[in-house]
Amino acid sequence: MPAVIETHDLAKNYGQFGALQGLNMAMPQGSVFALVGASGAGKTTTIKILLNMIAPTRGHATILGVDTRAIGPNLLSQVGYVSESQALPGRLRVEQFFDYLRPCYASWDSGLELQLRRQLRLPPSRKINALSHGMRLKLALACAMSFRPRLLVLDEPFSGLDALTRDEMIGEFLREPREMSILISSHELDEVERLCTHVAFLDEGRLLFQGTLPELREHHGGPGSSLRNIFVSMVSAARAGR
Amino acid sequence: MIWAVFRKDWALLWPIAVLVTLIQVALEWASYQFGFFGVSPVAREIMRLLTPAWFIGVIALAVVVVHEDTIPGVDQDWLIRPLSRTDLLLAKLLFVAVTVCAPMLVVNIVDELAQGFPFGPSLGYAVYKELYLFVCLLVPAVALASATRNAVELVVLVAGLLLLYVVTVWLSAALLGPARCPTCETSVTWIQSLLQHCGILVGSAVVLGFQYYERRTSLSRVLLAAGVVLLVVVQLPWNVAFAIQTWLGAPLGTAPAALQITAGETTIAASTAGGRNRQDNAKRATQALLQGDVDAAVEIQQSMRRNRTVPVTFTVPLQVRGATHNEFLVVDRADFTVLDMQGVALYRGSRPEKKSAPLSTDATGTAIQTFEMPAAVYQKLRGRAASLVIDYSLTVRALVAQYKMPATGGELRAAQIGICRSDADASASIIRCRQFGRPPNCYTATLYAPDGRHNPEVRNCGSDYRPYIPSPLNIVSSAGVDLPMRDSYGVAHYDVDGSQIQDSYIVMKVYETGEHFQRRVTSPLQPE
Repeated sequence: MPAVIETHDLAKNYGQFGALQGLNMAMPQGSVFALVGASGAGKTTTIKILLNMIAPTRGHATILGVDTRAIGPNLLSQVGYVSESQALPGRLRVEQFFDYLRPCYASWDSGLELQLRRQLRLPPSRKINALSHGMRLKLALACAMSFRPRLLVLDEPFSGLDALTRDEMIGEFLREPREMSILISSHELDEVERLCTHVAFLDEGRLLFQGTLPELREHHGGPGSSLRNIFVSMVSAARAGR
Repeated sequence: MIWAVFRKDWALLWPIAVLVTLIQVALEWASYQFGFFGVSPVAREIMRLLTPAWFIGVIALAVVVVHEDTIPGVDQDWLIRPLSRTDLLLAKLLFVAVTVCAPMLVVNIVDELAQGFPFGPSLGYAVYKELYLFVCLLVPAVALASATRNAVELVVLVAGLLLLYVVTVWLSAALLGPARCPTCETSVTWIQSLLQHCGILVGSAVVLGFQYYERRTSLSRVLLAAGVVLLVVVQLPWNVAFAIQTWLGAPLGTAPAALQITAGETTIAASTAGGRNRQDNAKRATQALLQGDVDAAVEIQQSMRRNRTVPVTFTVPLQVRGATHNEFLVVDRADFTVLDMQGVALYRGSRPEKKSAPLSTDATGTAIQTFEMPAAVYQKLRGRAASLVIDYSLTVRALVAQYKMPATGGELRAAQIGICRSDADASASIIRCRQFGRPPNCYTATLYAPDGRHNPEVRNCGSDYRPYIPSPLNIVSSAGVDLPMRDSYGVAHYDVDGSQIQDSYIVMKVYETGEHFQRRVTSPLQPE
């Protein structure tokens, strides 16, 4: 399978602190790829580099075959993004936000938009600032999926959500078979395990493992081992070795 | 995409845009009500209050629209949308143009038509005004806003830049004195000002480029700071500025080559103490500082330090030949050098007045010019023969039009002076003129009785040679003079005293700026 995302020796320093230290990673097309790590492991930094929000200190990456430093409107029209830290235009009403985005994407599917808005119960006349955290994430998700992106990037999408909303998002939207690849960063391992086909473990800016879930279990745990147990043991071993 | 962003911004900001437009409408209404003679106190008060409100409003609109999609930061929504940077920038500029400039264009044209001006020039000058506003005020405001995340950051950045500006001015004034800005407060200030405007525009374009295409906020802020320093430090030398002015000058009146200017013997006058004691000077320096005129304050302070001893004043009689009675010369600058007999320069100085002044000659064509030098220098000269070399920068002003209008209730429409109206109160006949663009550089008015008797001529001459509107935000420039005819204290007596004001008339003479030239004259100096 060709890779939708590739990173080569990707590094990012904030002053003396190395947030990312030589990351080499490849995400296969059509996969649900989980970037797993504790807080500060480098997940968000990786995603921000992939979307050209920040520049890497060293190395380079490609997304859908395009160097991240050369990302333009054409590529961004194929990538959906949802993040807990995403600053949506808060003074716009939900309806206005959809009105704004619709002409930006040639592939926008108004039918899908209506379906998502109905399913997620998004109040059209409410201002985005007045939405709860969970509703804001749902709005971002609806906006990110309405144009049928080739790649959906989710940065900590379950953070701060109640169990009901998490189940709703995973069950109704993310697990539905669609023709897109999903990159999801999270430290919520139970939710990730329900979703992903591939996984990469990050710790302190370093990659500990990447592969499919069966590969992970085969090499680092038993057939019934949970993702949580494998991750904890791998991180503990890695830190002990440093 | 430009339209999508524009619509989104409009949905968010239309209340502010409407408010700014209402302020513009109220201002134009007040300006119209103010009339030629400024008789409406309500209109005056509205203009006083709304002018700063309008200024703050348009700047705020330009800033807020940029901050809707901030450039610094990594979490903005627009970063992950398929928007080209060019589209985003153009959408912001379009929003500012549509919400600030377009309504103002319409309001200005309506106001000018209501004042009696024809449509064609009204449209032309209104477009010019909006372009100036856009390029010189709104684009720099957008550039500043693009280097900040929010209003608080913007205020801190602007405060920092202002502080840097003041410190740079203070330092350069302290180090260089009057040489800091050779063209300041002179007739060619506009060239320096134009240069600065171009610099601001180029700087704004560079910052916008860095911000929207590279998102390099730190570099942009450094550039802004460097720009502020350059704005103060880069100054045109007088000779360069005057050469540009000379190149722009149009032939009018007697050609400079036909004008003969010679100097008689320099006479040392009595010591003048500069006319002021230290206490006066300290007061003047404080006043200048309070008015924000750092240059003047530093100059006074330095002159106080320099002139602990009283300066010596000397006068030079200048003989001017070749000028007709319908023209006169203006001294824009006079630099002098005192040379000893071997040609060694003992002292260099300039005429203390920076503003251009007419070279007033008597009936024999003689004008007396006054200069000063420090007493210490004069002491060295005593008993030695020396000479004074004066380098004049001069301008010819010639009569271009002469008009006659009733002393009260009259109206005059003329290309040279626009629309003029006359009125009279108990003590004076008043003329007020409104015109598109630059008002006449120099004009005189004389009040005549029906029998030909007349009061002294009143002259109103500016010292600004710019070929365009002095304040582009006021495209209709105002000018006027008051012609006194009665002194309520009974001290002055006027030949035309207002008793026949209904039949009296005013003669207006309009002078325009002709050629500019430089001339060196030498005068023997024999200190006592």
